[in-house]
Amino acid sequence: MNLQVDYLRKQESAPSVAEVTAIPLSRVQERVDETAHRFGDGLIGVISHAVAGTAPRINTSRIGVVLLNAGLTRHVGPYRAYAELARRLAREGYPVLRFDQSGLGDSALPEQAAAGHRSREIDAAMSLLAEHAGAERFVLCGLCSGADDAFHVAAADHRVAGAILLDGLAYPTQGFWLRHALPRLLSPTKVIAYLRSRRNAGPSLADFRDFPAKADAARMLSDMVARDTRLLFVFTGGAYTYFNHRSQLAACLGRAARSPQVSLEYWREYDHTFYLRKHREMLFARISHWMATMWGQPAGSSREIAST
Amino acid sequence: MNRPLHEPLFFGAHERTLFGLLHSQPGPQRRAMVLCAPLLQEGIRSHRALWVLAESAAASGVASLCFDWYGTGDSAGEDTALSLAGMLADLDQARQTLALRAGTDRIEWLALRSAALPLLVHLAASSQPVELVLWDPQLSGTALVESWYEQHRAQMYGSGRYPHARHEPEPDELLGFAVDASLLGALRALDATQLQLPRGSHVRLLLWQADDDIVRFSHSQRMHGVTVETVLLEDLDRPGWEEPTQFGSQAYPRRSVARISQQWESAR
Repeated sequence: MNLQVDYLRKQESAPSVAEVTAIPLSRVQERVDETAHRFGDGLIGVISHAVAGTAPRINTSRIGVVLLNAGLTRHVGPYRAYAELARRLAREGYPVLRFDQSGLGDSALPEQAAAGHRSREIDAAMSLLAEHAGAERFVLCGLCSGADDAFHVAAADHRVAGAILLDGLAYPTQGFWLRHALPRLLSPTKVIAYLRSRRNAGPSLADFRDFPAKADAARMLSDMVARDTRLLFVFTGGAYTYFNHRSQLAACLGRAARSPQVSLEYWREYDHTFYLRKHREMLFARISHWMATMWGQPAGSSREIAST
Repeated sequence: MNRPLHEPLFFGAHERTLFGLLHSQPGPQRRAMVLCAPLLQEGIRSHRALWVLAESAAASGVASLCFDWYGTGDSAGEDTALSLAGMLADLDQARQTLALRAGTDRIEWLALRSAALPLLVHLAASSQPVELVLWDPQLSGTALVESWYEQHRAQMYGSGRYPHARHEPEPDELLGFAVDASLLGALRALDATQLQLPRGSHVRLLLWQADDDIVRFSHSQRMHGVTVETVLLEDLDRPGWEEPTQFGSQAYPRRSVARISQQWESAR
């Protein structure tokens, strides 16, 4: 399956990114002003300021985007993807902050370790973007553990208007296990490898991720949808240990996952960190389009909530 | 001792802005050091290790600047803007900025892995003796570029990254980045064992293992009046730089970082 063609075909009925934002899809070289900041308890981040006058048709001035560390990777993102995404969104009219949570990248360890430091740090990041770029509501975006952080904070903080969750939370279902196990049962080498892995169990997904209990996640999603928080889930083939079909999101998180506030992509052929540029370009185009569709019209108009 | 201060800054010419993080104690510094990150994926993997070294150096009274090459990290420029000539200009810019910020002209250098190549080219042109630390340096540009291509092939076709599809990278794509052919050509032409530092310079080599290039480099420098000191690190602590399964993980050799930090502390 050619994902790019498939995705673009799906978008034919929707207004294109270029139509909505009047910005060409190809790379633009226009310079983005960036400022470096130290804030909170020793946190370091960079704001890409919205390029003024490039998107006169969109009402983006009050939406700011915060990019959250992908695992232990510095705030520039895997292969510098966050820096590139921040600059792209800034050209489209959104101020974007990428920063390092405490103990990662350029940020210091906190003076005192305390529970809840992640949400406090993201709160400080939103305040910084409000102070320096005039943002009033926020879209949180993260890959892997960054998606987990985005989900938790989006559920708890009403200033969060949306979240972009790249290989974010989902839970194995019966259908998942059938799709996962059946092809492997037909392969003796995979069966042996599985039995060996059971005997020498290493760290599991749960050791690296911060998924709430499934029932809690379903309730959190339902609450977010009820207050019109918009979510874009993107799953890749890198999430194969816990996600392997589009229908799985609703199967594990309930009806809210089918609501118009929730958009979903499943890109099985892509890897977890978007190693290839063409895959990153596809991701950036999808995010740009989603942002424009969600917040590209004057406040009060909600006719373009995507349901992909 | 006070906790070092951290100052994130953009510096350099408007059309060539660089990002850096300055670690320092309050007030003028007697010494200062520029830390140079390796290129491409190793730069991202080793960032925190360099951050911790800069932190410990600052705590020992050495103001330290970690910066992103133009076309990398938070610095301006597309990936393809990374070039050898550009890196030489960046080193000069980093030196000037640190000298101004720290209030000292006594600038020392540290380079990890592939950063040794541009740094040695830059310092070989110096008229004054230099102080530098080379940590696990890669001195052969040809071998470096070949190892990058080998790792790239492993990521594309041998690491299990794409179990459901076969993808082809763009011709200028290497290790997740767009890389200009002129950079690879310039690196391939570099053999740092042939470069000569100014007489009276001091080089400290931090090594997990010495190879033939290191031996040749050390011998050549000593023959020309350069002091070369070698510090052997625990071999088991060496990150799997070329190991495909560790490609996306952080390279943080804890014991080696602690050992280097202790040396700075004892040299105060």
